[in-house]
Amino acid sequence: MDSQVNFSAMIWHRTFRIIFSLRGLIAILFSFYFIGAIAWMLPTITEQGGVIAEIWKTFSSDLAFSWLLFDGALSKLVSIFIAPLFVFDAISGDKTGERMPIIMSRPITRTQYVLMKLSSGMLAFTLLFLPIMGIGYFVFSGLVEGGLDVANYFATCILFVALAFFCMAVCLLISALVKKNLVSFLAAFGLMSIAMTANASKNTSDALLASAQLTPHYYATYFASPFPEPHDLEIMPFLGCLVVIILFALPFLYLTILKFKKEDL
Amino acid sequence: MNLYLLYTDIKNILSSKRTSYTILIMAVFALVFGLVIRFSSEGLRTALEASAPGSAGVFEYMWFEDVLKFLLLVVVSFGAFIISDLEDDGTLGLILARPESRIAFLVRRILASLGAFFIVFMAGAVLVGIIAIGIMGDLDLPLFLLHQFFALPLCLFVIALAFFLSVPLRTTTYTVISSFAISLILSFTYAFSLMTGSGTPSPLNPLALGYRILVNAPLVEPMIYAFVFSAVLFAAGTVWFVKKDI
Repeated sequence: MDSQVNFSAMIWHRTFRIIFSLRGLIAILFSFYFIGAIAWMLPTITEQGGVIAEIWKTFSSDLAFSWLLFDGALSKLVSIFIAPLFVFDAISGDKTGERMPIIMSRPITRTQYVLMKLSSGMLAFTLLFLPIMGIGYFVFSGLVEGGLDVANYFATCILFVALAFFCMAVCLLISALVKKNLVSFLAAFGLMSIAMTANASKNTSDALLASAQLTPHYYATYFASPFPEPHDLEIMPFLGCLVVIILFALPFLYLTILKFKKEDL
Repeated sequence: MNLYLLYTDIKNILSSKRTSYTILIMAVFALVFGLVIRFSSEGLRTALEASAPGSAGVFEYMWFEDVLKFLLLVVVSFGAFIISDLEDDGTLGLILARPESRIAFLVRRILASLGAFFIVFMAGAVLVGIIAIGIMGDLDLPLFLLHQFFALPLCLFVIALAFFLSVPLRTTTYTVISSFAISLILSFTYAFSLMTGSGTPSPLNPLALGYRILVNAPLVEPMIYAFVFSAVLFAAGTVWFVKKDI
């Protein structure tokens, strides 16, 4: 790294700019809306028919709730909305605003620039996501019969941070490939919606379960889902899931750096 | 109103990446969700069919219940065309310097956006129907297209919302993310209310129109609400824009 660049200061500066912007506000409001909605429907949901009530009868309340929260709601919310929200225009925005030549005239390498965008997006996501999930834990544990398993809950939260890393790596590549924010928005949010479909439908057939296993979403919800079977939280499978999700993300990050390095600005 | 400029605007949208991405995203969603239903168990397909007595087939249930939420992202992009595109390009001030009132300018841009969206959405729906028939084989295409037409007031509301938000937010980025977020919240609100067994969603929520089509619920009242809300948003956005210092 270039000694003239205060890399960590740049990351923190951009992180706070994201958090205290409209997109940070939207992410916070959206997350609290989800927590409130799930807390509101939880007391009545088990009385209704359908898949959710069946799962509640078949498995423990803790696992059934984890499935509803992480597999049913958050895997969609994080992958199709909140994670792309922080980075979908990270590079294309600078190209559109013609700020790129000015930024590149500073003592910063192109690799540093990409890593700064990804790190600040990840940091902003983590700083918002984990405290909100912490509040969610206290709200939900009082509503679920027998309480929630704290280790399982927060282990899945950490896997979701890794899932956000994957989503951001993909969105950053899209942002590097296109020149317009709108195109980046359509491609990033559209692709993320498609990427999570197999995991969202994994309980419907063996073919979809096999497809879901080819996506990082499956590994992020590994301990929260009763499909194909419930998994107890253990350190090695947890680390395995974490590594697999990160390995899914790394090729996209590498391609982003490669593309951005070769770009004629 | 200058009809030639209106024609040019519609032509500009139809030849933009926004149009090709919309058709592409609709086709890919049709392909993916068609395969999801194709590989689902027979029991699930029967259950879906039973829960949507007014639908043109199982595929349409998925299309209205799941895909329409994701498609909101392409709908908001048409709302962003009205002002935000010009703000991003930095050409808004220049265009407003022409001898055309701001109201006439906005009416033209809104009509162009709605006209182009109608063409793109219905063309995309035909393609989606053909893909679904290719995969599933049991979709009633004319009924599916009629239902897409009935769902247009929903899209009209989302475009109006995006336009209204684009007046204070200016840039395309903030316009699309905020209008997409609000539309998603409205969609999830009716979906959550269904999960709690509250019955048919409120006619006041325009985003529940797709579900109402599926279950053969009355459509006139929610359509009137959707048109009224859209008209209010367009009118409020126009008044705000006319008085705004550019």
